Amino acid sequence: MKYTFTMLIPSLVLIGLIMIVPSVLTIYYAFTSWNGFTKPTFIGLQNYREIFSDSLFWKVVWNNIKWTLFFLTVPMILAFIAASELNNVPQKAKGVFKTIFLIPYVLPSLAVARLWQIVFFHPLHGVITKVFNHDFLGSTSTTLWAIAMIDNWHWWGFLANVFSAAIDQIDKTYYEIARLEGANRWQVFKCVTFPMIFPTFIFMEIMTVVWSFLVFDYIFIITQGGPGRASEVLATLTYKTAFFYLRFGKGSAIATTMIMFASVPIATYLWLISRRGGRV
Amino acid sequence: MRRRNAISWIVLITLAFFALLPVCLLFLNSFKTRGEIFSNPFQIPKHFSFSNYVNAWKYTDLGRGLLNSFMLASLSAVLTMLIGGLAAYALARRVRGSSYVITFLMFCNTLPLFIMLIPLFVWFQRLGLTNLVGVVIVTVGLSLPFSILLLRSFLVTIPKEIEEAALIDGANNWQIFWKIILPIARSGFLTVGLLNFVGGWNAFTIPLTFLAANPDQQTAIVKIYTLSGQYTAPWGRIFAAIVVVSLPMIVVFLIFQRYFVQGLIGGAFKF
Repeated sequence: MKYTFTMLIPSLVLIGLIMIVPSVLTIYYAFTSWNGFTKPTFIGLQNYREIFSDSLFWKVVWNNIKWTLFFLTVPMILAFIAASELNNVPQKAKGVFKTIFLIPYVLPSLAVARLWQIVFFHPLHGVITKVFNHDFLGSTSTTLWAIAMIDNWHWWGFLANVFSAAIDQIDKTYYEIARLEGANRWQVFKCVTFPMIFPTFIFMEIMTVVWSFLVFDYIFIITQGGPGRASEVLATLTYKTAFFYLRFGKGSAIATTMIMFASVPIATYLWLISRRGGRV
Repeated sequence: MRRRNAISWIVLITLAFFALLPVCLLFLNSFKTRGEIFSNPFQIPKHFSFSNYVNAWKYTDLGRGLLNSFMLASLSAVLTMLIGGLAAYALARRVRGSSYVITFLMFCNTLPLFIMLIPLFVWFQRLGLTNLVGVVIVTVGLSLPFSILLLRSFLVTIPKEIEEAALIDGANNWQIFWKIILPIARSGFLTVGLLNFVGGWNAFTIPLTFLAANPDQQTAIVKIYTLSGQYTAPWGRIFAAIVVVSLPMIVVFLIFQRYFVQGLIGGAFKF
């Protein structure tokens, strides 16, 4: 069978039209004033001046940082606990647990969001609201953390599966030796499991930073950035600026800042993946 | 050792409970009235009534929504496999320029949706493509880099000699593809197809943005989103609709679990 470059053309054309051209256009529109209907007018750096001098923008960036910190720690710890305990149960049970942990991950984000929003966090009747006598989603100080918790419920099981797959690659004699030496579970984790899956861990941490600066669905579905602006993040701000307030130029400018924030981890990711010959 | 295992079981069962309880509550509450949901979501309904499901079907235009969801999911899965499969083959056989294309695809894979969303929407709106066709095109375009890289990682494992042997035996390209490569690479295609199917079915941002003004073409997810924005919404009915949308994904996942996990894990740390 003859393989030629022409086989790549349909894909490259589609990727070019859907991803590359619009990305370049966004960078251009960031320097314009545009309502999406008339012709964009070039206004130089004015959008950026407006964004950077607005305290709301920095508050929103801070929300993204808080979100990042949550996802760098909470789901990672849960997934580590799950993955290392999975090692101690029979193969069959391990498979069943891994399946159960992954079920929330395959549910649509809308389903997860609405379920938690109504059953657990309803402002009057939610189970968690009643237990703590506090409306977590409705109060400005806790809303972001409550949404992060909901997102985490669907996310940690995926991480647990990833870590468990990485642990499966570890040579079992390490565990035998640790057992013979009388290591406790913390020592086994610290001296065997963690060092051995460190590359996977670092990779997932880098991707977490990237994804955290792009987070959209859960926040948009649950609070749309509210109450007030308490749970606003860069993606919801971009979306609302463009599609609600029809300021496509300014929206584009905010979108480009997302890239700026995500570019450091993205560059690290690309560097790691190329250094390891496509395997992280 | 025994005590150690006991702790593992307790931890894992607790985590499984944490993962499953909300799913069970979703099913349970889809059979209750709004009042019953709010008074005690844990209570088992006295009589299992399907009226929520009937109402969801009648009043939320769920049938059309599900059909649209299915069209989006299956079309984007099939098109991605066809277009991306072709590219993945060329890359697996290292045609000229392959390494550049692979690096390019890895770069594209990290581009966030929001950097392209605004021009895409305006552009598609002008072309009159803010409909299901437009959503399929965008979805395929966005998923191609990841899908090609994942498919390639399956296809590189097929030795070239098998194809050459078939060629000598007088098979043509078409036969080689259908009778040799496809059966061997079936699990790779199935994995990519499944991930795209589930991704298309569950998709939120693109369908919401592109189909907002086009109720006839909205997917089930968009329809339910629009109906459930208020705390005063009919929650029994909405839960029923959510169950109807979620259940197929749980079933698909349980049946094809092996491929699913292999794709997710593969996508997470190897290309």
